[in-house]
Amino acid sequence: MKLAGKIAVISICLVVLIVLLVNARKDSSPYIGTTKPSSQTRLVYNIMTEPTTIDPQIPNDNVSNAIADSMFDGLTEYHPQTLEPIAALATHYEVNADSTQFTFYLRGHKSPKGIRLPNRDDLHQQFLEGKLKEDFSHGHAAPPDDQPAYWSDGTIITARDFVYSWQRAVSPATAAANAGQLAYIKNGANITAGLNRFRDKKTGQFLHGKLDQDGHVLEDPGGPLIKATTKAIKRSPQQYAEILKMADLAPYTPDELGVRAVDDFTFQVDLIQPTSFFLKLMPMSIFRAVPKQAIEAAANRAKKSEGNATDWLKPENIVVSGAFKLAERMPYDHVLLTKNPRYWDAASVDLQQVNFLPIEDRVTGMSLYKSGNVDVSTGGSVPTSFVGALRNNKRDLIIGPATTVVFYVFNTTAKPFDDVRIRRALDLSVDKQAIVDVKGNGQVPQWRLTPTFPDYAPQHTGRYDPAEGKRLLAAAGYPNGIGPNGAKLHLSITYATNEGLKQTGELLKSFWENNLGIEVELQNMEAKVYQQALIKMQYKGLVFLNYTADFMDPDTYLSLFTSDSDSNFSGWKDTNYDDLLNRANAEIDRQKHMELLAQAEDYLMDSQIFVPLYIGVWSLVKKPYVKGFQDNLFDKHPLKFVWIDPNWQADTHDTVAQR
Amino acid sequence: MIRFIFRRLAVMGPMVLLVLTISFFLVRLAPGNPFTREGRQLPDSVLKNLNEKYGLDEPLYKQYANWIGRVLHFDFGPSIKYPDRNVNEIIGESITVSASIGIFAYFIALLVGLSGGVLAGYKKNSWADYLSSTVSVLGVSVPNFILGPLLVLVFSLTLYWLPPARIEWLAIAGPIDLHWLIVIFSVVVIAIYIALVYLGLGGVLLRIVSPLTHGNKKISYAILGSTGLAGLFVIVFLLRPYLHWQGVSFPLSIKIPSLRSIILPAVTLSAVYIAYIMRLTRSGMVETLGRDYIRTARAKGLSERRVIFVHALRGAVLPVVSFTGPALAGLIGGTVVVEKIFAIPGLGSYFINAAFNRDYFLLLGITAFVSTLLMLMNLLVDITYAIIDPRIRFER
Repeated sequence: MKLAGKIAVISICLVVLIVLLVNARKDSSPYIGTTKPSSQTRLVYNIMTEPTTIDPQIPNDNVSNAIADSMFDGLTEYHPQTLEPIAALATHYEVNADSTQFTFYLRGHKSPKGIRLPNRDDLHQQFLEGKLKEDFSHGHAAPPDDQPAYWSDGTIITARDFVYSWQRAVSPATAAANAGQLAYIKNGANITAGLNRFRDKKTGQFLHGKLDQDGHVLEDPGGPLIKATTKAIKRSPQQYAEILKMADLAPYTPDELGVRAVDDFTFQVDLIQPTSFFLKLMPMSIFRAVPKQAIEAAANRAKKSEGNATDWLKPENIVVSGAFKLAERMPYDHVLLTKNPRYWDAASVDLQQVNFLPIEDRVTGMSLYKSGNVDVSTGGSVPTSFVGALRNNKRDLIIGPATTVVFYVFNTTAKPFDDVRIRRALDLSVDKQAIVDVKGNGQVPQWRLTPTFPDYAPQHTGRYDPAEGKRLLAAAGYPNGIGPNGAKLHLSITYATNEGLKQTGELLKSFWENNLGIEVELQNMEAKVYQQALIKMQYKGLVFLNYTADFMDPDTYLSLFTSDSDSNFSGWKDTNYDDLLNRANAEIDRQKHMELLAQAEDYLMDSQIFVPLYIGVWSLVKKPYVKGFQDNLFDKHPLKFVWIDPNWQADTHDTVAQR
Repeated sequence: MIRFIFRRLAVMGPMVLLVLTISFFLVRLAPGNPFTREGRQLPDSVLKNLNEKYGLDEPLYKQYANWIGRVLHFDFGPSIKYPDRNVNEIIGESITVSASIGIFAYFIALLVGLSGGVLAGYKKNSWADYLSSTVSVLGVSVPNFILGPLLVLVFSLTLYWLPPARIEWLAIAGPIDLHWLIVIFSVVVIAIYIALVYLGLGGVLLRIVSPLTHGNKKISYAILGSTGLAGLFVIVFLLRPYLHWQGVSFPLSIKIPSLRSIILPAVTLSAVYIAYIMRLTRSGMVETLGRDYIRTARAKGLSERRVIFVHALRGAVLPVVSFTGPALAGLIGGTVVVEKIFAIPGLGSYFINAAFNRDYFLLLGITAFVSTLLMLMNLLVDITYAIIDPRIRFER
């Protein structure tokens, strides 16, 4: 046995040595692995995780949305580089004077009015003007706007399809994760929440006023509608006994949503309040058109016990409105899409097939990329340990800015962190540049909540100033970190178990312990346990958070800290802040909208309810022959613009972001 | 023997139920729920709709009753994380993947392990013995998350012989419904049954039939075989509508992987089993070769080959048999690490992700499936024991 052990050790060493020797040859190619495409019409896309569903309306994760967006078109599409809305099923749109009503003119409308959305021809023009990194039109012209678009089963896509789709999106039965995005639309929030009104049995009018604790109805014709969820009524029947004697329940139904088909190709939306950024939401998956004919057919079959209601998402049943159609799906293995020949822009779609691979292990993903089995990967797919080695000598590693803001939020309800001076002291005594340097992937240090937006300039600035931090801490009653009872100020940092977060935590710990003399404790938890602690605010001190943008407006971050936000875990509520945001969003003038938002952010930063750290980056790999695919803030890449160039040349307009 | 099998099968039902009941409440004790996430949270109204959709808003005892009611009809419910598919579909899709790789790895392990072990045990303290010890030490001490990437580095990224990950599927058939599986299963059971009769273990049955056939053994076998077959088909026929209760079944898709793509994962997977089987066989071999009956066999003048492969091996593999049953269950049930390294869409990835995502129904469905599989394998082990070792009887 002893001899066997020796032989084992020696053989391990030998194998490792051989492998090292073989791989020690200097790899001088500027690209990782093979650079010859395996196919000229097929793209293999590593998306890293299994999509939860390919239904565009239900999930809200980037991976599921990437697949759904390739199959379903919306009113508008993401610009492949700037992410601004461009024409898809709608070609024109109109806004009324106070931006509470949007009218969209769909493909096939003979005389569309209003503002024309940019199309392929405009992308070409933008490229000629030098605004874009490559020509996304790839020499194809945009089809005429007055030709209607078709579903893949040959029926025309009309405004009624959008009415159906949006009603489905808000319906409680759909339980869409992103349904909150339709809360800007009239009745949207009421329908999703499952609210009921009370219709007077005699007059047939809805009851206004209030229902007090004991169930007495205090009618007030000028007051708000009396509303209640069905569940609340079930839970406390006594409270609703009196009102139900005099009135009938009238639930909000999806067909009350503020959307209508004016005619076949005119779609109109009523909003509850002026919402200047509403157009920017339109490319989101939940706003895309879904096929009523296929969904209802599957639902009917399910009623007769012939399958499930979700069977419309099977390759044999699916009907799509987008550039690609589902051909094969093997969970955790691949999702294969083929080109949809009935797509309105089909003449310009160069890819015949797209194969999405959910490769969970990042190193495996890199092996497949190196051997040419993968052409492009999704943001975040490169192992952190590879980035440092590859970033200076491989041109297919792309590191681009993301919208992920990484920060640590205080539980402001617990002492001593209810004192803004202590919170400010902690923010001042972290060298964020140093942390970013350790992270080393190109992250940007951050002193406020939002990343940079055009025309957006909050006044708040931060700096690394441990002396000032120390002074503030002393002023708050903790000179040199020692409290009035003689004990050190204790701060715990809660985060989900993760190597990167542990590293960040230890850096923060060393800064705060050295600069302020306080005691810092790191607390890691299993992901779901951490999430529960977060939501129920069962944490003390600081908790790790990161937020990504839903759409291109600072409001997407700022609205996280309003009093009624579902993602505000700080315990900090301020009606002044809520008012500022409401005023900003009601403002139609873009300049004023941005000014008010900047004021709101300054107000938020004055309270210092969190310690911002940095803005994350996307790191992904892309073969040089993949064209029409540029890194952007959301890592969203409409695949109808992508093509494969077997005759690619280095140093043409193949711009690899090297930073 | 038959009575023993039926008794064991009858006990298995309540045992699975007990496992499921405990798992149900354990899973629900874990903090968090399927709908929390990192960063931006879902609005309350959406959470309410999701809870209602999956029946998670009801009191726990009611949820348990609903769920057990469905499970008794072979319906494991929806997957919360993957709403396009239900748990039955997910298990049906992934089990064939795990099984094809698991069984391949199992045979590699048996082939290499048994032959290496026999050789090492027979030629004790020779170079062959040391080589087998070396392989065993390596197999046990090099974890598969090291071995896998190492093999990939050598055979895929340096020599370019084999694909670095992913299985290439030569043929995907199906989905096949569970009643077909039962037909296949019945045929296998009957084959085993006939084999048992031939081995003389069906003596009791034979004695029952013999008055009818006046002691003619061939006719007795024919009668026994055909009645057994007919009985099983009747059972399948009766179960068919039941298995389609509310359109629910296990749609099982049969997938055949290409040899090229299956080699690396199967070898990685089998390494540790090779090691165990080799050691167990070796020590068994050394022990049996010293027994009196081996000396008797040699004294009788039997050929050395017959002594080793018939007389000695039969005694030597007993510990191996009890090891391989649960091992096969583990191999078929999916192995998380190897599935991750080679991007294999097997049951293991679903199992571990279901636990992380708190996908209650999926987690419990797989638990039910794997625990049943484990019990079946243990039963198989006991049956095999009886065949190999005539001293073991199950009548009491």
